[in-house]
Amino acid sequence: MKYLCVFVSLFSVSLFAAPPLNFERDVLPSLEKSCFKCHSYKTKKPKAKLRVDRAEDMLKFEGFIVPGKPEKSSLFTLVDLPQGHDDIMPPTDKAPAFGEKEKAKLKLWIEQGAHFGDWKEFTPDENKKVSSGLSSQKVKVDMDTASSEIDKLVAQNLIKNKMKANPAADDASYLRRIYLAIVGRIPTVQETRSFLNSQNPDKRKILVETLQNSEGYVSNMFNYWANILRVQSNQEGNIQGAWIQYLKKSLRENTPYDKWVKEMVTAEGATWQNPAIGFLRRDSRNRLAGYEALTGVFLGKQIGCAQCHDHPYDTTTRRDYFEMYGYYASAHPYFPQERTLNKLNGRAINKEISELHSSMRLKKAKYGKDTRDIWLTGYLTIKKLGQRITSQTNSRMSKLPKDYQYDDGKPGKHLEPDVLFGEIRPLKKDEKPMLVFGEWLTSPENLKFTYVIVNRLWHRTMGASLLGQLSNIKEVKNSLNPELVDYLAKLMVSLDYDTKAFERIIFNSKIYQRMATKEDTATKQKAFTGPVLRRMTAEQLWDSAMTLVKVDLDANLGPKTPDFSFYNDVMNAASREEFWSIVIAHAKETRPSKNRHKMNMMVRKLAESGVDPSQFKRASEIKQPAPAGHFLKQFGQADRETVEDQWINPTIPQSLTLLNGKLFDFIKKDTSTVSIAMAKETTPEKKIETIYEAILSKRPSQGDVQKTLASIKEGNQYDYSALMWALLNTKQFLFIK
Amino acid sequence: MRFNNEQTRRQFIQRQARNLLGVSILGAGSNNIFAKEITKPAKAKSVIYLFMKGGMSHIDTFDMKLDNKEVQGPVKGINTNVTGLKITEHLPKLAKQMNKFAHIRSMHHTQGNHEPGTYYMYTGYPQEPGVIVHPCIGSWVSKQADRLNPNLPIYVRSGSLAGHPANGFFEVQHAPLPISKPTEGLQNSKLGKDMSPEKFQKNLKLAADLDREFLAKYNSKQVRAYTDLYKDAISMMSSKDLAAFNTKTEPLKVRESYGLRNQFGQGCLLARKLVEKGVRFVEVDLGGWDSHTENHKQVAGQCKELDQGLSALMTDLESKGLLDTTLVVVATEFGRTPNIDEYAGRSHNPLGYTCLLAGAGVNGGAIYGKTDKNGKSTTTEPTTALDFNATIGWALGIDPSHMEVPFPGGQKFSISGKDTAKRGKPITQLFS
Repeated sequence: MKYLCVFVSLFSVSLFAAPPLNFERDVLPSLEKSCFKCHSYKTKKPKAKLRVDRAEDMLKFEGFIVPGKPEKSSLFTLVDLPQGHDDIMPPTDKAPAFGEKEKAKLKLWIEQGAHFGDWKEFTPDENKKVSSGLSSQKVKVDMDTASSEIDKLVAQNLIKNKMKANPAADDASYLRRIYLAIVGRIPTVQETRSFLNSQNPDKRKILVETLQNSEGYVSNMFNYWANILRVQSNQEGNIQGAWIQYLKKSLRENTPYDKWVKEMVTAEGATWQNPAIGFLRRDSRNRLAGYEALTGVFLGKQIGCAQCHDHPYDTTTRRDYFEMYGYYASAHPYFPQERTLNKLNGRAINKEISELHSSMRLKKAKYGKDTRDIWLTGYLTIKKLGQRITSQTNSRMSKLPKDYQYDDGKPGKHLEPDVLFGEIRPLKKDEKPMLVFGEWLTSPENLKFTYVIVNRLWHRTMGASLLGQLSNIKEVKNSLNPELVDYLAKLMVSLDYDTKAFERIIFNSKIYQRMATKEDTATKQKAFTGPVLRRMTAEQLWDSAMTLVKVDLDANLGPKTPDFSFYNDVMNAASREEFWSIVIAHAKETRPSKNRHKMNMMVRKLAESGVDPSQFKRASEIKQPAPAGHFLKQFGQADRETVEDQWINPTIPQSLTLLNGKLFDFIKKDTSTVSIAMAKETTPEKKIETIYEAILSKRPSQGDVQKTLASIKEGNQYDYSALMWALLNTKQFLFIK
Repeated sequence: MRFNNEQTRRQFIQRQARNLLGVSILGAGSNNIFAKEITKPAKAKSVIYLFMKGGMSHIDTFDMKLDNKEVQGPVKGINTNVTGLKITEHLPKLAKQMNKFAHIRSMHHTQGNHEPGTYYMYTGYPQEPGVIVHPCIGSWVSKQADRLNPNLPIYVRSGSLAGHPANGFFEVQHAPLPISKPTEGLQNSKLGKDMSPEKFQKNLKLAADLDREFLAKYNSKQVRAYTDLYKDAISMMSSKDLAAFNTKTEPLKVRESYGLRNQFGQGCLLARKLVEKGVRFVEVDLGGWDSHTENHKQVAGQCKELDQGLSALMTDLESKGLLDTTLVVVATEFGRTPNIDEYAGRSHNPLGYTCLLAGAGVNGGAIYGKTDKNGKSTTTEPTTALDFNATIGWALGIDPSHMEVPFPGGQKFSISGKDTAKRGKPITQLFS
């Protein structure tokens, strides 16, 4: 009958339609904010010997909670007293008061029966501890020891859940998976053969090392990070792809993760001075979006909601949001154009440029045939120099917004920068806030920074997350395998954020080398049984198609250094005459009008299903992201507008492309890699085997060979292109097992 | 007393409530309120849903604050063919067609950024990543409306699926068919070079034979979805109405009226062609509204594309006799702030913004709802995305009590909302 009472009392206050509240989500955050200071683990002697961080304590404290009756529960009546009342809890100035919504929730929760659900006791968020101690807990980093530690922790969890890992992966499945994971494409026929034929017991280890040290690794990892960092070719701060080249260089040189992140976050200057600036420049027009992306990507916390109001399910308040924004806002964009060009009189130059333009229209072109090039060079130069520069300032600009709606501060009130959690050292006078923030962000003491990256890389390699959403991680204690997360974090710190070595350890583990788990099974499972079956990403699919078409596909990868000497010369010009003589010389040398036309044509052709042979390159080497209409876009390449907005939904146009697309004409052509390899073979069986090796990285069974021979026979001939077509239209081509 | 499941517990509460209070407590979820309102026949057969991506400044377009110089900035208003209604000077062609549009000036929510704002507009719900993905309005139409033309998909989108909730918890067939570039149409719908229909069938069979072992071993939802869409793609190839995807078959004069270099305009033309052939829901995006710097310049540029594309669409629909049965929707994820900042930009403002409706019996010139004198917040007739979506559903005659259950035993959803929360209410007074 207890339930009935509860319901009846609910009806009497006409709250019957309200969904049941969840203590942990709806009530606990208010208690934490308003009561914990004096009534929890946080103090050695809780006031009135009452602790509200334990269910048991709250229930045994007399009259504290009377289920169904908020008016008789002192937990509610004391917080519900009018402001300024002597007995109000929390006492004025001790802690933030309960808001009206919080009171309503508390009341409703008691009315609904004050159920705690599974909750027993509050465990402090490990991220809020003053020091993580991670940096002092070193673990052994030699590959075999570390890999077997991972296997041990995965196995323990399997046993706990009475589950078994998948069988070991055969060589062919492993081969295809590891190529796609490290270099982002399927192996060539030669690569497949040399691996499958090798008798070396260490061949997998050797292969991982070789692949990780190739340019393919740079290309593939660039695609991965470009989606996270939302890299676009034509964004601000990416002149001549300078930021793209910076990212590739960091990956090529295996710069430690904490180091390159810090470089980007604390960067200043113009693109031609410091290409790492692309990260901050990316969002110089929408700085709150940049700040929110940074917080999600590197701290694993989504704070977008708190831009306008206190986070509903979380402790982040609107005030917290703007306090931490204080650091980000101090990296200040400004226009250098006036300053650098002032001495030359930028306005006069602009006028000269527009005069040049009209001289062309009036058919009295000032420099004859060269006019268009000179005008375009001048115009583009001024435009590029007009891009803003980021300066790390010492300003403390963050304020509460004009429409700030809570009691703890007036709109427009100046805020001292502070972080969402953990400890950051106080700013010294005139110190640049973003530099201190970068130090705090990337420190091993900032546990979340490490958890985020180990979770990301586990997800990248294994296909499953240990901590929920990649950019909004849950607490480690709520992970399916907290011990594993803890170990991986220690490992990452002990490796000094060498992400390549970290991945090598995962690739070397037994669990990575098992057969794949179906993704719908994986989401229900409580332990890892093997890597998760995945569809190839758009980039993996395109790069794999290119592997079949183009001989030596990876030969044109490698360092490309942007040449900024022209910009430096222009910036240093002493007079307008000198400015123009530099521009004229550059225009004659580079002929931008021709290039521009060529670029436009290229983009247009690219858009037509990406079947322009001159653009048969790795996805990392063409326009970022590819233009609409391109094969990559059809298969879900990110728009790079929001963090990781790539998609893998199957669509009708994708199927049509694989069935009828022009790309196939290039795959079956005599000059394609697969056709060349096949031509070297003499028997039909061997030719079929070669096509299998090229497209599926495996050898066919006898049965499959027989089926194929029967199907592709045309008179006395065999139509091998039919087999190529068929294999490209199998699901095993699209999926990575 | 114990209840084994949600359903019996709810039935119990309902009975108790009736006994004790004499009311039906599931009012919010029952059909009663709708039953009364569906008095006008649904006129819309199709929807053309134009999304102004990035957050269209309501202040600089359709909800101008001309008396408030400080908020309005340099942009001027012009008279329209609706007495007393002024819109921005940058939409001169649309100004002559304003008698076809109803304005909802009281759209509002609290999702301050693009991704959650867009999700909210498309689905009616805040994002709950990792918990549930709600279907977008077009997928609701795909799921619950009949297909008018068996030879064409029910739901097409001109644009990519990046950042799009698509089918959400519905089957993948209810995701939009994405057209990457409208002028390219549905690429690769014809057999490739040297491929005869017989050979195509033979090769398909070979592919299926060689894939059998893999499919048996990895018979998962995701893999099956690919197999299903392959079937749909193959049947699409023999469709009699494929020409509907090809805008190039239209007379040059028509294509020019939409703007030959205006991708949005060409998307509108594609939408008209598809609607003409019975496609139920077509989406076209116009990106670039995120005017954080030089707001007025940027909005003027955007307006030029919108003005050309949308005004051509209205004229074209009308001349083809399609306007009475086509609901044209202009939506966006949020408006922009009254404040013009140091970069001459405006920031995101979800608290009050404008969306438009036209066609399918919409009362042209109607203004619904208001924002305050600065254009910051909605003051009257607040309208949520669920209200907005419920209105679209209502115009199409979709039954708002038709529930779908994403997970066995879980909450139930209809096009106007879920059974346990406040449902969207169609704005029926905008229709005649």
